[in-house]
Amino acid sequence: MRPVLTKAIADVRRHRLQTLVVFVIAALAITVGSMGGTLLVQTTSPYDRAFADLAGPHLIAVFDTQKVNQSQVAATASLPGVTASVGPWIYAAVPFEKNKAKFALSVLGRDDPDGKLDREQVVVGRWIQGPGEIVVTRSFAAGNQIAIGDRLTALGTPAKPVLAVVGEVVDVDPNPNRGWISSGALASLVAADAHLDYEMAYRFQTATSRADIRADLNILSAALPPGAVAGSASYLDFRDGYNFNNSLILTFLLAFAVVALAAVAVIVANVVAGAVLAGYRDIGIMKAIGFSPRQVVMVFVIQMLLPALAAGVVGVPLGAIASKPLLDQAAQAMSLPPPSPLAPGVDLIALAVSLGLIALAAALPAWRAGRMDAVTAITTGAAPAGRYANRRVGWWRVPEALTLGVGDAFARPLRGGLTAVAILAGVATLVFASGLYSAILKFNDLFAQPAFQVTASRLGGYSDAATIDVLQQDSETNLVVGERQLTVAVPGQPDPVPMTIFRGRSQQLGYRMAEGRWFGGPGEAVVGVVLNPYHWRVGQTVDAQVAGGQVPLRIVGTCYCFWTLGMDWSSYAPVAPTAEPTDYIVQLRPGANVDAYVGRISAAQPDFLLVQPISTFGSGFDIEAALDAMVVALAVILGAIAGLGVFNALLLTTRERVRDIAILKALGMTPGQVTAMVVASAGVLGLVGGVVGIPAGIGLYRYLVDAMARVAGFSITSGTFPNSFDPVQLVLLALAGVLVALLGAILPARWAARTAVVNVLNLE
Amino acid sequence: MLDGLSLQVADGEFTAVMGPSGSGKSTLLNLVAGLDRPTSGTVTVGGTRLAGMGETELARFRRSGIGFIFQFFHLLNNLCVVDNVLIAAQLAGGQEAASRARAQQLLDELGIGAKAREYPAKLSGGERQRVAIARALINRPAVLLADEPTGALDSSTGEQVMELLVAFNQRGQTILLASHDLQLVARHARRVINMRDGKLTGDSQAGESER
Repeated sequence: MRPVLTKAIADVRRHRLQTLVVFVIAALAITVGSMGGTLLVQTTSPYDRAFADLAGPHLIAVFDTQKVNQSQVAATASLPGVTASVGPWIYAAVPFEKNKAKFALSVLGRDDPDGKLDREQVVVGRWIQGPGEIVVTRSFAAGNQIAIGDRLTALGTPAKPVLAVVGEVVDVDPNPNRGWISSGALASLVAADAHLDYEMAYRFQTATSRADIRADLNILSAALPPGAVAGSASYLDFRDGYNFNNSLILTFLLAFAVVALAAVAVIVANVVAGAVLAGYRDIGIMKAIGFSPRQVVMVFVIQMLLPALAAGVVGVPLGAIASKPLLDQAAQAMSLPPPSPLAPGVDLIALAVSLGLIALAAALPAWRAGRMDAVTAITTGAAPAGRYANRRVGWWRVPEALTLGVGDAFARPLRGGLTAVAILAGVATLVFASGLYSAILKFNDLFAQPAFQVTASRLGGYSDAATIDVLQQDSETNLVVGERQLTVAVPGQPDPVPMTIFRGRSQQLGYRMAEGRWFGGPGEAVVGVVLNPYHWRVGQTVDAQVAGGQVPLRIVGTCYCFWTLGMDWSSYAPVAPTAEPTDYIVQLRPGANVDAYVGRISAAQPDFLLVQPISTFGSGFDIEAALDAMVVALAVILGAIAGLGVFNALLLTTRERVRDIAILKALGMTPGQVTAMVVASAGVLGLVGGVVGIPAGIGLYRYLVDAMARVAGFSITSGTFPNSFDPVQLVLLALAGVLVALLGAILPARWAARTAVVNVLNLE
Repeated sequence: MLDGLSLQVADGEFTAVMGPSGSGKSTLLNLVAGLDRPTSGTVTVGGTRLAGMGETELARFRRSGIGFIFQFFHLLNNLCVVDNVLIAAQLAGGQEAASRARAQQLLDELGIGAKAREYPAKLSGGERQRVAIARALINRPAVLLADEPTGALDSSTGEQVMELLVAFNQRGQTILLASHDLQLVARHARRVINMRDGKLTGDSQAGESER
């Protein structure tokens, strides 16, 4: 072992620049590994992580205060099967107003944000300390431009008390429209005869399936007077809803993490393998003086691992620092608490995988060389022999330095190929990321509803007829479509199916059709392309169990919409004759002022209608900004790693060709021509990598988007977005590959140009 | 290291610089070729003063003004014989057809025309040095510098190389040759310069005793 260590350490000292390159590349790789690993974990089970961190409950149950008192509800904590519980808290729906904008919030009286279960994590400001204060969800604050210190007017009583917003929280309940006040303050916000409920959160011994949760709920119901349980929500519903709503950001994060890790792995392996290939002559000499093939491998592995280990010390904290903005943005977009960027498990895995990869990349070529006889190894390493190395001078129309440089690029085909592959991996990854980015933006556009501008929701007991009256009386109302959202059962499907029922001329809503047509009357339905895990197709008939009755529906089209089944009210009325829409989508007359319209309708019925302009799709956070940040981070890191790969390859080539460069200088090659020769050598590798990287990236995009859509149960494929790639952008990305190569070539080229002819040739 | 050396070489001369290792022979040739720079003093070749020239100007000077033959040939291993010769013409901006014709002519004259497409690795030492001579002459340089051109060759091959150089000299090529082989030099050079420790210790014409 001693000679191995002596030789490895001596090599590290002798090849300081190469050691520095391996160190920097390993540090960047470990940084990306740490970032990618953390993002991968986030995308795999972000809800489960938040659920564990915040002690999410299996079930949140709502109890009618007219049927049970607080102590009866509290006693359910000791029911069989209940392993933990918090509450009960008093709860009511309260309308609020801020600067004439109205919001409906489900308000809980809760004094303590912590506890055994259902913890509220304050991410901005602080928790409530007394009456007159309110804490809201971060999603609600962001979606409604509410900041700490803003004052919300409660509209539930004539006194209209004002509450100051003191904090923003995140928790495991995906519903953003919630607020918390001190437990004694709720009575002052609602009318004396207003309906109040208790809310309590539970964990159960068995709660892995919906059937388990139903059985647990039955135990609760049985222990209380009939009708006491007014409602419930299970964590399984929360999780499914959460995963669906965040499928876009999850998809991108997953793809980003996987592709970035793969690209970095390819580039790092190339650089390390290239460095070992350059040491073939050394390998021959080592063998000649008695090193065994195993010892040869160990020398190179240790030589590469020493800087890589040092890189780990830098890369892990750098990864944590670099992850933080991405994690924060992703968490914010997903309405989850920001996770700690320090994930020791992930960091250790990233470190171990990076070191393993570097060791493997060093061991494979060293093992190959270690098995050669000494003379062959020395010969292979000493001169660019072989048919690929030989070339002709005679391309007279192009400056000779360029022809020589182009020839040099592949004088060592393996090293040249590895360098081109490093550029290719970087360019392909960026092409993939830009395609995915463009597809996501187009995906958003597909779901936009430009034909409608305003939504209105009925609050409390305000009637459907009165709502229609208010809306129709405004001269700028052109069309009103009523809407009701349900979950229905479909025989053969284990989970409830989300359904939207439309009343009125819904064909004018402007949903884009992927296939077929909009429903035209009773017995017809349209399926959303996103949430169609059952793979229902046009022409198929589905028997939906709606409001206790059976409704056979023939699917006549698929559309870009976020529900599974959509049908006309005429299909619904026979099974639910007294049902009414709860929400209304309003199309305004051309030229109408949306904000003025919203203001007028809100003023007409301030307490019972929640009127809002239809905003862009999303949770209120700027998903584009989050995606931009990720693509930029990816571009910078991959560019740096690929550039260093080129630098390393050219450094080795220049060092190896120092004699040839000296001869050419002796024959009259100017320093500028030497520089041009080395840069041309890099440029051609960059061009090959860039040009091949474009179709590779497009292929990767198509394959991964289709694969992710299959996994997510989307009916959307890469073919849905035929123009995801901008030709100009593709050309620029190919040129970016060349640019990265040229940047990597600058220093080796300058060193080559300064080669001292006399010193080099006299040493021969 | 050269010390107080003053030397003039006339056009068409075949001058040999003699001296033991470390006497400064190679340094003198490197200075004439513009590969090295004097700390003081001047070097003028064909009326061109090298002092004050930048690297690029020196490179351009070498292309057409100098032909250099090295002891260890210094051929480019990844170019075939004819391309090793042509690369110098290409650097000097020569016309393709004319350069190819001259390269082939030189190779034929040097007796290796049949090996124009071979790579240096397959040539003997003598053949490699002939390629180096052809490369050095392709641009019709003002001065042909030869630094121990026979140092890596056996005596018979060395003799042949010297005869080739004499033949080119007889056609007017100025040659400045460094060697430590007194007998070889005495048989071929017309003027012999002796050096020791960087100083000129003798300057004689062939057949004369040292002055």
